[in-house]
Amino acid sequence: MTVMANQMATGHTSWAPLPDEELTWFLADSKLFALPRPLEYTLEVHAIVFGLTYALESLEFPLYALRSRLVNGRVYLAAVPSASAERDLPRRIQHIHDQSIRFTGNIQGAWNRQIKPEIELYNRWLAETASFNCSAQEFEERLCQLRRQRGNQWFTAIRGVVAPTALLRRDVTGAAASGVADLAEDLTRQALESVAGQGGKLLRALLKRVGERFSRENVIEAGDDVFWLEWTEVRGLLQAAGDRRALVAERKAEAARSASLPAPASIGPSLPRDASRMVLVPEVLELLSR
Amino acid sequence: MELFSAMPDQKRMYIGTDSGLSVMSQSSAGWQHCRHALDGKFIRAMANVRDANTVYACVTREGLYASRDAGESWDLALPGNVHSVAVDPNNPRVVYAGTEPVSLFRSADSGKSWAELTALKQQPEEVSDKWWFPQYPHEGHVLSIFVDWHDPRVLCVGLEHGGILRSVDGGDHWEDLSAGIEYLDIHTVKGDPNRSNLYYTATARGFYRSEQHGRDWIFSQQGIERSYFHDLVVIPGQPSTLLLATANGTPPAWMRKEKAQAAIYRSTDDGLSWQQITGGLPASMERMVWNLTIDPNNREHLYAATGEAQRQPTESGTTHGGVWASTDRGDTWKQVYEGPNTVRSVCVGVQ
Repeated sequence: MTVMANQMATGHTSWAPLPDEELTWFLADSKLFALPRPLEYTLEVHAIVFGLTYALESLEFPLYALRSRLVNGRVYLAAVPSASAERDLPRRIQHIHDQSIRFTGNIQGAWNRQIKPEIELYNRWLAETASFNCSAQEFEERLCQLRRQRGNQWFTAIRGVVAPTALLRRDVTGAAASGVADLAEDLTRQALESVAGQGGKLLRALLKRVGERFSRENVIEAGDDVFWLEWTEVRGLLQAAGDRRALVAERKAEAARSASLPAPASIGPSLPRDASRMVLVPEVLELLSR
Repeated sequence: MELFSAMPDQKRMYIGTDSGLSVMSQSSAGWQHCRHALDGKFIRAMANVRDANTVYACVTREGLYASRDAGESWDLALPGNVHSVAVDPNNPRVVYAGTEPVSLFRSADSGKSWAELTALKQQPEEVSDKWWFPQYPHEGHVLSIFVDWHDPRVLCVGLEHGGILRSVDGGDHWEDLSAGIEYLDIHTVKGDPNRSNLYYTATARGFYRSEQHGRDWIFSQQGIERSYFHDLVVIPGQPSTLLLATANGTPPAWMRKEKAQAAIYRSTDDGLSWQQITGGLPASMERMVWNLTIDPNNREHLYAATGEAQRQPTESGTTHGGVWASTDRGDTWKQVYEGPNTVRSVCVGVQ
């Protein structure tokens, strides 16, 4: 029914994205996604997928969105097809080229002028928040913005550097001459060091401090147990503390059981690797996994 | 209700650019420059009141300016990052202003005092999570406001990015009506003056129509050979005429040598099919058509504001924006203004 709706988007039926059960899910087994605990999945993986989706959309990659789900503790990703892209795929591929000119045309300039300063701005924001140099109320307000801020940081890096690098590597833009692709790869390495490396470290420090507060309030046993709570639970507990020690123990046991279960490479209907919704997606994910 | 009045005596044209505003007056020799105003300010959108000297101009990151004397003087009526303004067609004293971050304000006294319609922001997280924008600080904004032609309680806003929300009780409650739209970069949302159930929206990646009061949007681009959609104007008549400003790719893509590849399309069957308008207009315009507007006193008269994607350095003798005009409902066009800055909006009023 929904497949039909997707195909009929130009007719008399309103378009709707495919539901999860009709998508093909690929195991995301890089270190960014490896066996996330509930807080890592609902905060960091959510932010990465947010950044990926909006970055690829913004550059007119021919997909509607990326989605994630957990199966036996592993992250699986799926590309949701776009009706508008599939109506005229050649034009959409041309649009990827056109949309990326501002980054691929002078990738070093774009990095210096726009991408690097913005990424560093978010790291400063994370550092400020982690250092608790603000009132309790302001801290909680900042935590409300945390997932969006982190998603924006991933967006900035992926749109400005990572995805353009994938384009340059494939020479989609025709600008890969004279070492531009090598330069782009180096900038991608710098971007990931800043976002995943420094930003990830600051994020963990911030969350550990939240965990220490919860530990003092007997919400959880040890500060590190905060990673066994989900993001919405953490936000709720900041408003009203409650004992979650049994929940944490239950989740730890469940994760231990899941870790030994098999993890197939893909789940759902088969999808050719050259499906239009997958254009350049494996290349971008491969760059992110470095 | 009469939506358009008879031909007035004297016309003024307000040209809002990315670096100030020009006021023009019409004479037998054509449009003559009267004065500059709001020097250096980025005028994002404008609206005016028919049969009055009142004009509103949205200035990026500053607020909504109002002039009560046909552009002679301007006052800051509402501070904030105002992106959109609309005058209620049922009551010219009622004005709405939309901002970034997403908020909607209402004035019942021609912009002298304002109240926020706070219910708009009180949406479930799955709705407000979609309010976003690709440029830093990545906040969505209200880019389009539609007040029903006949029922002032019915309001509709388009968010860039974020979707479409509609209220049927003057803004006390809002419902997200984005289902059916694939890419929620909403540029314009309008209703049809003849059929209150019929809505149109121009998004960055498609034109859609709804026969369900803004629910269940259907993609409708038969005849259009462009991929980017910006402004939309609905000209009352039997049937209504729709004009749609289009280009290829979103603004960053216009750095290519062909630039925007803009075109205006027209529909006379409620947005079901489209024909490109070429009477006097280039088949592929390098500059984008940022705004389409009707002379509120003569529905045959249309104006198109054109310009670049981004503010350009000012160099002597170079021009980056213009205004085209049609006096025959869009059949033929001629350029009536050319200036150094991108024209983001234009409106015409009676002095």
